[in-house]
Amino acid sequence: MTCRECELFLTEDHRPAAVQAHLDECPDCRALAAELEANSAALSELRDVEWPPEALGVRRARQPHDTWTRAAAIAAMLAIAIAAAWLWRAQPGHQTAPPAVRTALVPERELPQRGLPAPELPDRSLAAPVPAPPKRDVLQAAARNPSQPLKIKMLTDDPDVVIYWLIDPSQEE
Amino acid sequence: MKLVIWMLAAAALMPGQDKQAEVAVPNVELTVYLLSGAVQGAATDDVPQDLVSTAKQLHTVFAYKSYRLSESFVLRGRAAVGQGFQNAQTQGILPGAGLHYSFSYQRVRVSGDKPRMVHIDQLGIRLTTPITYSSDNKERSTTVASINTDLDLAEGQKTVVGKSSINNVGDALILVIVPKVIE
Repeated sequence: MTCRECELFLTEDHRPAAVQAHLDECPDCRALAAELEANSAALSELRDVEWPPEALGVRRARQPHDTWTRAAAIAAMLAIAIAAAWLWRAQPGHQTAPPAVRTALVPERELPQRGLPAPELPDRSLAAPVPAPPKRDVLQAAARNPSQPLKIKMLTDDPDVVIYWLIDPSQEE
Repeated sequence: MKLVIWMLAAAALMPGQDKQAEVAVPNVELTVYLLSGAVQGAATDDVPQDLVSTAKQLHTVFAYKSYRLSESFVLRGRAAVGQGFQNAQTQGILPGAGLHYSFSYQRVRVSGDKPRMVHIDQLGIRLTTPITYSSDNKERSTTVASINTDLDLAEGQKTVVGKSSINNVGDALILVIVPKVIE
């Protein structure tokens, strides 16, 4: 799980196990989570504070400014919530029956070495003509080539299951 | 005389060395499952027993209500030697919807360490509508969804590659790949 993905879950009540696992490993995200929790706790305490009349007078004098600050905060929270929901949304579709396992033999041929143009492929969208560089840092690779989908690796409770999720550049915008 | 004997012995060993070099290149078997995910409808998964644990993990991460198997196949070929390309491809028709799929990769490499890692260059799958013919007899087919990426897989591990919102109703296209190295 990436820090970016983790941040999306920090504002939610229910955190998946993968998020907690990431928090255990990442000091930056842990600090961010602690800060958010502290802010939330501070805001909760403010609800119970009984303001003296003089303090209320001050608050009334500053009410326009406070209103704008609160509106900006609400707008920011809404933007975060919409972005999170948009990223993880999913909708229904038709399904098909499970078929039996089939076996296909793979044709193999040796082709020119790296750096030389590759031969014509049956489907160019499925195999690029030159080998892509190894993606040691997905975010860095995405930054280098904005047309490449962002690949998010998610760690799960099961060590035998690894999940990669692809996000197209058009989905990110 | 000794020199002749050594030369004969060396000549006798040479074919054996060639055979050893051939055997050293392992085969890689990829078991591929093609799943779909939906957020509405019955919350009942329809996956084989091998994928129950995978579906369980998907449920912990995503909000899709159910996961269903659309297709599965096994792809086997030799690992790449040096910088050679392989360009393996298989295709078929998904039952029910009639969509065509084309699964391919450019090259598969295997690490020598244990557990062995399988690196797949330019893994791709593409779903297309059935081919129709226009009035001028040209083939027409529309791409419904596609996945293209490089992947590192641990031997025996179930690696999931997915993409959401592959169509206007937001279905998810999910590949589960289980590699096996065969010496």
